[in-house]
Amino acid sequence: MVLSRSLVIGAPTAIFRSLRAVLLIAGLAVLAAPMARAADVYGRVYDTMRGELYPGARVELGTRAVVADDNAQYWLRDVAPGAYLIRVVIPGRREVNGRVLVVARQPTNIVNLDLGRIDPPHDEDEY
Amino acid sequence: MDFRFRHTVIAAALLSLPTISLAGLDDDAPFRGDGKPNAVQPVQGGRVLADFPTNAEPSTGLRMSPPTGTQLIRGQRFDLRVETQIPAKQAPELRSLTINGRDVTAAFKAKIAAQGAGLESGSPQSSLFLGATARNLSFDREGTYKVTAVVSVDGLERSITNEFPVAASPFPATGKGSKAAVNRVVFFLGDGMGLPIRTAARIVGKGVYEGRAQGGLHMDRMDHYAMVHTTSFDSIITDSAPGMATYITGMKQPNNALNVSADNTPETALDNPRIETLWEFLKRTRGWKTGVVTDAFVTDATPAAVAAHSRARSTRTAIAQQMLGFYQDGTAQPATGFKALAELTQPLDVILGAGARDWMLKSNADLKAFYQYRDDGRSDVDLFASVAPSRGYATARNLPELNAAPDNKPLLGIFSGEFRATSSGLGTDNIPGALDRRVARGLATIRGKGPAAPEMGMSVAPPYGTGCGATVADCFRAVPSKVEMVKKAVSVLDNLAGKSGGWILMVEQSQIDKLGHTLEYERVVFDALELDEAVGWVASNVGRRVDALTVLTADHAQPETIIGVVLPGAVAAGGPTPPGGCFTGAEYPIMLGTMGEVARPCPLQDAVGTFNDATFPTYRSSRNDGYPDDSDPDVKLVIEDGGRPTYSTNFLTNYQPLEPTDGKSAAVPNPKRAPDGLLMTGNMPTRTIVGGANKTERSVTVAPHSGDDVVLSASGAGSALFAGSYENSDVHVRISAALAGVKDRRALDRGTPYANVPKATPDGKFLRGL
Repeated sequence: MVLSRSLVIGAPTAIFRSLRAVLLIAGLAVLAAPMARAADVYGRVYDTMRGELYPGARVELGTRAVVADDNAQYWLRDVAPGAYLIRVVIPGRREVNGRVLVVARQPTNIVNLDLGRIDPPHDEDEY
Repeated sequence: MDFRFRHTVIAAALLSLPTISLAGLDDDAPFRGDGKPNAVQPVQGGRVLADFPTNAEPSTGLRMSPPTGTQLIRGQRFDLRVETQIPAKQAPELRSLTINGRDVTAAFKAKIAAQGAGLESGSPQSSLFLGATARNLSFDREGTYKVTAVVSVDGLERSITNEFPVAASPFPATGKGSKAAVNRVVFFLGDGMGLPIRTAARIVGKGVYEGRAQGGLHMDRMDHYAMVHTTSFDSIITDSAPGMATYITGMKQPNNALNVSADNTPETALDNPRIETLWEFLKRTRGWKTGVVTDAFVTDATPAAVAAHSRARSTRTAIAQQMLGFYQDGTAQPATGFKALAELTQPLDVILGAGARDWMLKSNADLKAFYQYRDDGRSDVDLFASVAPSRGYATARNLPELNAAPDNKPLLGIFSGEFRATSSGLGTDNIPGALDRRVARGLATIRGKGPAAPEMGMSVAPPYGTGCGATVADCFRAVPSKVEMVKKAVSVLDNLAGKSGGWILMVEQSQIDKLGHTLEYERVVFDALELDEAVGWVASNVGRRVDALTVLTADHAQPETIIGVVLPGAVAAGGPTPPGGCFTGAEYPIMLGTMGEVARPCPLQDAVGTFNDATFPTYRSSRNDGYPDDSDPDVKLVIEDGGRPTYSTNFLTNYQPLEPTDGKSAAVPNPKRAPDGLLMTGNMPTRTIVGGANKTERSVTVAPHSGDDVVLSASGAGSALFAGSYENSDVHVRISAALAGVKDRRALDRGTPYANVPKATPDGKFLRGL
């Protein structure tokens, strides 16, 4: 590993070796932390084309599922960063699949599920 | 440096790099690019290649409208909104609002208070969100404005900054006597007209001989050309609403939105932060006359884009009222809560198109007997029979009435749609395609068949009454062509504007897109040719004036492309090549063919001559009017789609436009359309077909749009400004510059990244309207 070799070259004393080791570990921790950090996902389930909110909508992300509250809001806590398909199941209606990219460096990922956007148009006159 | 420590120092620096990059040296660079560490990290922005980067504070979703970078012109009205997107624990509060450093917090709050809470200010239902919209503001001096909002959320202050480049006005600063360099503007919009369709129209309409086109289209003869990026605010593939609206506002908008931004009240489409269109601006500030001509329903996204404001293009009945400037409680577009909207919208002087159900009461007998709607219409007010006449509009339902309408009154013309009960490919809301209207008029045939042929479904009586004619063909004959509509629109606008006044007209050829969705390629090309005829008429008449500007473009493309030619005589039933046989019928699944087989597995696939073997089509125009006599000549052009549902084709023109699928799923072809044809497997999403028929609702049953750049052509005064490659939001600024008399497009570079914006940061006091 080039970086490790460069650290060894020119290290004159045990003290500096220790200091470098601490720095290396700290640096690797900084590098690794954001990749492992989970993020929250918040959004609302609605359809701008119909002017409708969907309280009670079931939102599924991977193996997890939550139900939107009375204001059609949902939270998914501590989601590992990555790309997901997200599924919305509205009672008495259809199922809709959307795509979500969860980014760790965002404290909260806003994922509004606008069926007017992620679902195909109602007919060809809405293209 | 003591060299004994150099490697330790270097190591420490290296290890600290990730930390620095995570904090963000300038991770709002895509939005501000000021090179400074960022206190306001945009949501999913910075170094992350996210699917939807947007300029919002990450912990609260704090954002501002218009979106950063919106290209305004001096004096153009816009709404300024500040809102959060994530609920707080306590009601958030706007701490400060500054414009180029000038504090306008008190004035902003006073404006909100004066407007009142609710729809007028776009107030969220929950107090845990901030949401406040100050309506109808404008910047009164050119330059760049940075607007920063600081909001207190649960004890912490969050901030967001948007930047607004403000270009020069189309008019001199002073009012009376000032005149634009351009006083006639015609904006042609070929909906979904990507470059392949322009090429196809030339090949079909003019022919090719030894590699040379036998003439050019009118659109080929325009003065200057550009490539325009069509991406919307939230998708690389726009729909027609922001596709057109962005051209005439300078603001990137979300899909489905008409001249508004997104907000945190998704339950209400009509209260979103708005922006003034060029049509509204020119009428409000200089009394220009304005018009729109389309073959779609008039409230459809493209025609509505010149005059309407809604987060949902589907709010058709409200949009119709906005086009007339008619606000009344108890109707689709109430007055209460929409005072600012009523001040913003400007009634159009010419409205020509289809879609009578958005304009007439359900009880209006014409809806059924004339327009052939089975059971549809408004439930609140009759705009066509009552409101429009009371406001001085003449009305017309067909070509004779259009021609008889006076030129000295505003004009509302609503014409019949494609109502054939046997056709599924267009619908009663939309004027029949150019090919079908030409067949009805005896100007074209489909494989030799005219309007009397039973296959056409034109020789029968209309389904719900004979108000528009004794037969379908009679009704279709009475629908004006595009050039007939444009001639009348220009005549009325000329008369209303007078010699000293100006006017601006948008002309849409909608069916290039709508018939493209249903993969009716031959009809698409006929519609492109109809658009070209109108372009030619404008060039010969309006375009002769030295103060006329014509722009022609598309709002987006479709994934259509020219793949070769086919010989219809060889594939028609009874022809030398057996039809279908590939993937359909009893042979499925197919076996690969062998030399010994008499019938090849995919004879229709072999019927296409492509690449080296794509010879020249043999369309004929005996009238020499730019249209072929028949859509299926001996050698015909073949167009195919890169994005499509599963459908079947025999490369022949359908006698009537038909849906490509069964209307329920992208995976099932329409059994009535070329059932013995070649099965073209789809690549569009299908819905889960589990648990009942409702789960298949809203499947993608048609071909989509594409994200390609589109060609823009311009002729006349100021047209040189349009050469280049730029965003669709730039067109607004370029039209304005043409009106102001700018001739050289390099003059639009005034030291900023934005066209016709000077390097200046005016005082915040130049924000008007607070």
